Amino acid sequence: MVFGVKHSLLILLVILSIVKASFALTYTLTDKLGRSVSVEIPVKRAVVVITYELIPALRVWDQVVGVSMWAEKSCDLYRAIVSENPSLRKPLVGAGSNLNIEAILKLAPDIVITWSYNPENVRFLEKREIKTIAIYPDSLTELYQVIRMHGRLFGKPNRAQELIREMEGIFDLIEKRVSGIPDKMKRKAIHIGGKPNRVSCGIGVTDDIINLIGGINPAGKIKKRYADVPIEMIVKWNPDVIFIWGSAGYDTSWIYKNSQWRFIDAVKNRKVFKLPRWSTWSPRLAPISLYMAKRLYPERFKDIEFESLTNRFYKKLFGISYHKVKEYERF
Amino acid sequence: MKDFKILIMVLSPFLFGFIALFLGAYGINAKDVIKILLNETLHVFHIEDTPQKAIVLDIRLPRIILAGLVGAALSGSGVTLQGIFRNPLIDPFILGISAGAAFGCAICVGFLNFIPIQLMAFIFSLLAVIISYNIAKGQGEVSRLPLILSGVIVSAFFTALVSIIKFLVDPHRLQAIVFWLMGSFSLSDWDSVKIAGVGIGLSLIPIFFMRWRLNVLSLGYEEAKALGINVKLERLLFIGFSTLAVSVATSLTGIIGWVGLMVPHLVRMIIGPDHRILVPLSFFAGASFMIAADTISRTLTSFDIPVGIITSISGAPFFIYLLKRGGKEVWGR
Repeated sequence: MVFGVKHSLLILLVILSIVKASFALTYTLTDKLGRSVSVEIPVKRAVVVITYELIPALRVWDQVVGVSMWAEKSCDLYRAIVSENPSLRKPLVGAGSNLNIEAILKLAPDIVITWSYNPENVRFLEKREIKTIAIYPDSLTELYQVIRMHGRLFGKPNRAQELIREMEGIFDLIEKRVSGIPDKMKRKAIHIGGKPNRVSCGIGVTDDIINLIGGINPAGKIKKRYADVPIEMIVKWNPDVIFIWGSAGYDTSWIYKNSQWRFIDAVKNRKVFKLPRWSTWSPRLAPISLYMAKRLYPERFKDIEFESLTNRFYKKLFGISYHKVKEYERF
Repeated sequence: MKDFKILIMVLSPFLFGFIALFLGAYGINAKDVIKILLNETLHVFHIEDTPQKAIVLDIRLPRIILAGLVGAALSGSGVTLQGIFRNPLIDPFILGISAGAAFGCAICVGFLNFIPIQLMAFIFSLLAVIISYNIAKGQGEVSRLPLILSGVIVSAFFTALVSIIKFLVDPHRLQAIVFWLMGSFSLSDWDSVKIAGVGIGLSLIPIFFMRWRLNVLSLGYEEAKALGINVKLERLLFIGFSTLAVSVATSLTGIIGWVGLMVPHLVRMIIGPDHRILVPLSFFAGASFMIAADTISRTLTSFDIPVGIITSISGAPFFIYLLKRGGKEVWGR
């Protein structure tokens, strides 16, 4: 009798595993480099090169086996979480711009999710039969697609949708408050990068965000991601607000002290702001947008408490408080 | 005819500079530019402090002057080093200046944001030349080949260090390093002009007054010595002044290639190999070329094309032409 039960259980297990295998899904997608990639999902051993902020957001720590060193070096969120819980720390696979292929091979990943910055790395991995997906979200829509793609890859499509809903919650809040602004009254804002004359142009998440917060990006006419423009072009644009990229090697005082910028309204009215050093390829794009909106139209966001709203967002999405992450912002 | 060519070359940077004052993204009409200039020089008109005035006097003018000074520095150093090394393929970056400056920039952008890039670029470019010189000195007398070889070694070493930093920094900083390496005048201001004026002036003026000695040095070590020249000392002085000029220029604008190689050749083709006239005309021609290249870089599109790209695009075809024409004819031997 016991023998019969054991046999029945064994047969049941075999049948279940066959059924499971036959239901294992293959997800086929076209990545930013135009390559068609097919992956068995959910992935169990992923290397995440650039979108490491989605690991805590999707709660997929146990499905990730490696990250790039930029996670440890440049990402306050990742650093805060792994410092609080060292068992979550992942092996490093080189810099995001230059992957250590041997380190990746050692981890035997199902998939490497990287960006399209260095296509040679992608081709090299492909030759070694490591499935690789290259991303580069050039708009808010593309960022949502990237989040959804991560959700499907890790078998967490509902969680991915939840992240997008949370982001949209903040975007809706912003849009409601700026939607009534007539075009003529819209304020001009530019986003400057590593050099004061490097502006974010018409392709990219930043341009979308400036438009979403009710601003006009004068550099949006240039159909590039970034461009170095002559200073006199910035004077000609005469932006009302200037946002400085958070990791830029200069701050607002450099702009205020430089006499070449003195006729720009943003400088005259002390409306130059340095942004937090957060990734814009992450759900954190939503609180960054609120931060920018509050500075572009302060009168319309007087009652919004940025810190408490962001804190709630962090706890809900990343499981850690904004204040704790802030401790790791300067490094 | 030769005098006319000389006159044209001397006047060209001023002419190019004047024309460049009228060109730019803001679109100020020529009348206003003239009014602003007359107001500033002769006080004929009274003009309020307007954005137009700031653009002409605080943005365009310092940029044009800086371009001229940097062009003169690169070209002047090029002609000097080509003379003392008796090698037409020497450029001002041969002793590791560019690699040293790039390393200084990379350290700054990557890790030491609080230190001005210019300062670090200057320190490391000078350091690179000092190391190159000392390696060559270790071989005994500092002669041409060991010095060039040590320059190659030091350049390779600093280039490797830059690669390590590029590997370690995040993508945006990486972009900043790459763009700096391409060279640009986009952030020129009066402070840069003052630094360039003093640094480049202190190096090119002595070269100008010592230029006739280059004719003797270019005869070779033995012949120059026989003519009573202290070859070691003279070479050291010329290398020192050239290095200072190029280090200052590079620290302010990044690496701008080809000017130091191409312009002296061009001038030599027009007026011959006599350094007494070749050196000062290389200053003027370098300034003209750089002003023209920078004006193209800032007016060709709505964004600022790194000037290094413009100089390289014009430099490569020029050298193909030069090769076709034959080195001997150009070098004048």
